[in-house]
Amino acid sequence: MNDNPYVKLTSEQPPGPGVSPMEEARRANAAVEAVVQLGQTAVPQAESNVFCLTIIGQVEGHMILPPQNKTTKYEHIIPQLVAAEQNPKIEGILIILNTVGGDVEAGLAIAEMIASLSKPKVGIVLGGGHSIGGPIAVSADYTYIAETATMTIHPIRLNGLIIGVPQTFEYLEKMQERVVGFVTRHSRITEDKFKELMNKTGELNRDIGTTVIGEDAVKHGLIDAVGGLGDAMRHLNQMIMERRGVQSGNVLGGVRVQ
Amino acid sequence: MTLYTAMPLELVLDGAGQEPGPFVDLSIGGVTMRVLPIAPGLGRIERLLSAPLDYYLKPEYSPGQTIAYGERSIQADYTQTASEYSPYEV
Repeated sequence: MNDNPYVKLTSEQPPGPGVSPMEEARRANAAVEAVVQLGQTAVPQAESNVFCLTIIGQVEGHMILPPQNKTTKYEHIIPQLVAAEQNPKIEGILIILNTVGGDVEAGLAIAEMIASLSKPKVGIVLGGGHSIGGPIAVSADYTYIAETATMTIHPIRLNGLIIGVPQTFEYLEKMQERVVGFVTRHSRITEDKFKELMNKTGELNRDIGTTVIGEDAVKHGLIDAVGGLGDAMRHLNQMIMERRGVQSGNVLGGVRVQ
Repeated sequence: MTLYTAMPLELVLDGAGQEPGPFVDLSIGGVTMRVLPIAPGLGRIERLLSAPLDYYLKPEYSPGQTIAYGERSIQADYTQTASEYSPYEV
């Protein structure tokens, strides 16, 4: 008879051939396994009812930009927005914007998609929301701009071969009208004011246009308020609560309307 | 294509003549993605070609993320460049 407790323990709980219980437990955890075997550090996400969409660097559209550019690929953003719209667990969308512009088609596509979402969406412009970042910024229901963030408003330029005929200018005007139209429809800025900022001289050293900083963007009616993450989350949560109330019929201070 | 950006175009388009790739198209667990190999069995996701909608919300499947393939991959289609690739080819 063997009274040694250590031997008793090991004989009652056989760890398997050459594998200790600790090793087995570790292997059962897929996240730890990924770190050990593959060096991948995907941390399990806590469930959240807010989807955070970050749009940074260049908005990449029809052409893959050279690798020195940090890009946001619109072909990934579009299905993300579709998924966020149809996923019942997602109740609101927070858009964080720090972009230097990019493809007009892709930028307007993203802006139109955000504007047509039925769920509450709040945007924050951090750092910069330049050029095509303008329409994306105003596409949310309510947009904040950081005190130090800037937005450059300037005319569209044509790239590539340009034919020197009047139609070229008319085409450029039409392209610009798309941007101006979208911004004026989705913000408080007037068309005349936006065009005035866009065609201003003496502000930018390499271009015509204007850079508006924080408070100025609010003053012109382009952005709704100066604020940061806390303000944006508070506003988004408030909109989510209001939407829940409307959906469940509680439109009068928590009293169900029959 | 019209680029509307505050950055100088010579900086944005620097190196545009160099073709990206070669890419590898992989199908892993129902997700077809285009990957740029960076080491044997490791690749950087260029974009998802087709995936269930919820995969677009997972940060680990976003472009630029590193993914391990190799033994897990079901189907690998090697292509020279993105421009030569046609998903409709049999």
